[in-house]
Amino acid sequence: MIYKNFKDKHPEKVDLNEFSRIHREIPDEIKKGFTALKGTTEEYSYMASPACFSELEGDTRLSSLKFDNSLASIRLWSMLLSEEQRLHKSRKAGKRIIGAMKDLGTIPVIAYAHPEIISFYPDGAWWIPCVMEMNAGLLKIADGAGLGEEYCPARVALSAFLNRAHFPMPELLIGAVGSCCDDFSAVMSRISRTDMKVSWWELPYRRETDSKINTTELSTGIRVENHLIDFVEEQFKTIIQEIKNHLGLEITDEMLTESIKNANRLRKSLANIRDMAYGITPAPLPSLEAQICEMFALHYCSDMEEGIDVIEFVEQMVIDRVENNIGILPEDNAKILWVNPVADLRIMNIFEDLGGRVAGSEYLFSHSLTQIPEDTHPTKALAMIALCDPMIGSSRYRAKLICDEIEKYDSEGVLISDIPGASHCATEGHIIKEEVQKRFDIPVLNITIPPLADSSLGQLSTRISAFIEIIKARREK
Amino acid sequence: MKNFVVGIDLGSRAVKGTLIDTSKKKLVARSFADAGTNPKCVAESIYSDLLEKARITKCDVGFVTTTGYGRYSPDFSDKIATEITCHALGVKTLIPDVKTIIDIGGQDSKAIFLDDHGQIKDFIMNDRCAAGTGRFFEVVSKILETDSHGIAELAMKAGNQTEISSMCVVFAESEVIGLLAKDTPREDIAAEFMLQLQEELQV
Repeated sequence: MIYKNFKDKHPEKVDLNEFSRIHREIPDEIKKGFTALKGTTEEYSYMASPACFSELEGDTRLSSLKFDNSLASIRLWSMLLSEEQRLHKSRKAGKRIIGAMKDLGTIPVIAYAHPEIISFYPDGAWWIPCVMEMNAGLLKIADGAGLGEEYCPARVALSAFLNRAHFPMPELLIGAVGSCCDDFSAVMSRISRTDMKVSWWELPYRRETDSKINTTELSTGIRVENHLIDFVEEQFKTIIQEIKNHLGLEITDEMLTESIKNANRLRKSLANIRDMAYGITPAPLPSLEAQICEMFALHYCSDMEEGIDVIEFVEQMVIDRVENNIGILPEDNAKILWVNPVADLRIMNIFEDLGGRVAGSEYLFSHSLTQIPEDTHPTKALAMIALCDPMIGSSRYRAKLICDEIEKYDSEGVLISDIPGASHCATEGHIIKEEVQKRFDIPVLNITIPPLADSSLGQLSTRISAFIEIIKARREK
Repeated sequence: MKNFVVGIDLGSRAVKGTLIDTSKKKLVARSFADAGTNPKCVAESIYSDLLEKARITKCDVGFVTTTGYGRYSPDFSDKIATEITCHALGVKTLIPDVKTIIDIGGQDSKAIFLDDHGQIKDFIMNDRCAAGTGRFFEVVSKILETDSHGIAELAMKAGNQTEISSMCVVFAESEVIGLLAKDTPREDIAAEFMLQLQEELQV
C-alpha cells in the first residue's frame, strides 16, 4: 500500500529490530498525522511515542515477536502499546474515564456516546504480562492479595488497581456480574473493596428457546424470551442513570444511536478484515495482528475516533494485498480455527512458523463483532447484543458459533488454547470438541497457553506441529 | 542409484538412527547414542556411524528424515516430521492392525490413535510432569541398580505386592529409597513401579 509517498515493503514478518527500523523510516509528516485525542488540548501523535518502540523494548516480550511489516501494522501496534499513555493524557484533557469490567464490548458503546467520556477495560490489564517479560510482578501482587494460580491471568487487573502504576484510576467502574466469568467476579469483588466507585449490573444466564411466542431471535440466530431482553435493557437504563448521577453527564437516546452507528462502522470494517484474513489464500494478514484488530472492537483502544481510523487503515492495507494477490504466509498453511485469546503472543508466531494459519476465531467476545441492530430502541439493541455473549450461556452455544465459523472459513482443524486457571476452560473444551466433531470430520487440539514454563515450548511446538501434519496428511487422503 | 534412506530421531535423552535399503526393503544399519548436550553433533556422528556400518557414502543416500525433540537441529534433513507422524507411518507400514500407539519418550509420553486407514485420528501428550516418562523409568531403574531392560526382568520375579504412592519423579525416588532401606526386595519395587506406570499411561 502507498500512503502519502510511503510505500510498504513486500509483506513479510519481521523482528523488532527491523520493525523499529521501518518505523524510523516513516516520514515525520506521516507520524505526526496519526494522532489521538483529536480536538483536545492533549492531541498527540502516538506514532512518535517512545513508549512504543524504545523505552519498552528492554522490558517486553516484543523482542521475541515477529510483526507484519506494513505501515498499517506499525500504526496498529503503536496505538495498542500507547494505550496507558493515552489514558493518562485523556485525564489531563479533562475526559471522564469509565472502567468497564467483564461485559466485553457493550458498556463502552454507552460510554463513548458522550463526547466527554472515554472507556477502557481494566480487564485488559491481563494483557500487560503478554508484552512484559517482568510479568511476575503483577502476578505476585495478585497472589499476595489472595488470588493465586487458581484464577485466570485476568487477576492482574486487581494488581493494577492495587499498585496504581499502570492506567489512571477511573472515576467510575461498571462491572457486569451474574452469569459471566466467576474468576473475574472475584477480581471485581476485591476491587470494589478499594476506594473505587463501582456500579454493578446483572448479565443474566441466557436461556435459549425454540418457542416463537414472546421471544425474539438474536443476531446470532438464537431465540430468547422477551423478558430477558427487557431485563438487560432496564439494567442499561440504570447504568445510564448511574453515569448521570456520578459524572453529571447525560447520555441521550440520540447520542446512543450515534454511538451504535460508530460501533457498527468499526464492526463492519472488522468483519471485512476477518473475511479476508481468515478466508482468503494466500493469507493477507498474520494471525497476531488479526487478533489485535479484533480486540479493538471492545473499546476502540481508548479513543473511538482514532481506533476506528486505525482499523479502517488496516482494512485498506489488507484489501490492497488481496487485490494484488499478495499474502504473508505460505499458501499451503493449515487453516485452523482458534478458540480463546492467546495470553502468550509468541505462540501465534510459532503456530504460523510451523505451518498454520488462523481461519476463524472465537476469542470469547464474538458478540462485540456483531452488528448492533439500528432499527430498534438503542438500549434494547444493546441488550440484544449483550445477550449474544458467548460466555453467558451453554458451552454448546459457543460450540455452535465455532461451527458457524468453520463453515464460513472452511477451517481444517480447531485449536482450543486453554487459559490456565480460567474455570470455563476446564469443561468446555471437551464439549466444543464433541460438538465440532459431530458436525465436521476435522481434528481438534487442546493446548494450554501460556505454557507453565518456557521449557514446555518444545513440547507445545511438537503438539502444534503434529496437529498441522495430521491436517496436511488428511488433504492427501 | 540412491537406494538408501536414513531416519534419525533426536530425542531428549537419546539419538537413534536407522538406515534402510529401499531396494531390498531391509533395515541394514542402526545406531544409538545419548543425546548429550549437543544433539546436532550426536546426530552427525550417528549418521556417519550408519554409513560406516553399511559401507556406503552419503552419495548413496537418497533421503534423510529427522524427528524428535531436536528434529530441526541437523542441516542434512530432507524432511522434518514429528515423532507422532513417524510412529503412525511406521505402524501403518509394519503392523497395520495396530490402532493405538503408546510412546514413552524421554521427557513426554504420547498416546496416538489411528483410524482404519492408518491415519492419525487423535493424540494426547503429557506436558507438565515427568510422571510416566522415560526419564522416570531411568531414575527408578538407576536406584534399583539396573537399566530400563533389567527393570522389566526384575518385575517378572516379584513375590509380594508393595506400594509406591506417588508417581511424581522426585517423591517416588525418595519413596523407592525408603522401601530399599526397609529391605523391600528390588523385584517387588520394580513390579509396583511397572503397575503404577501402566496406571499412569492408561487412556
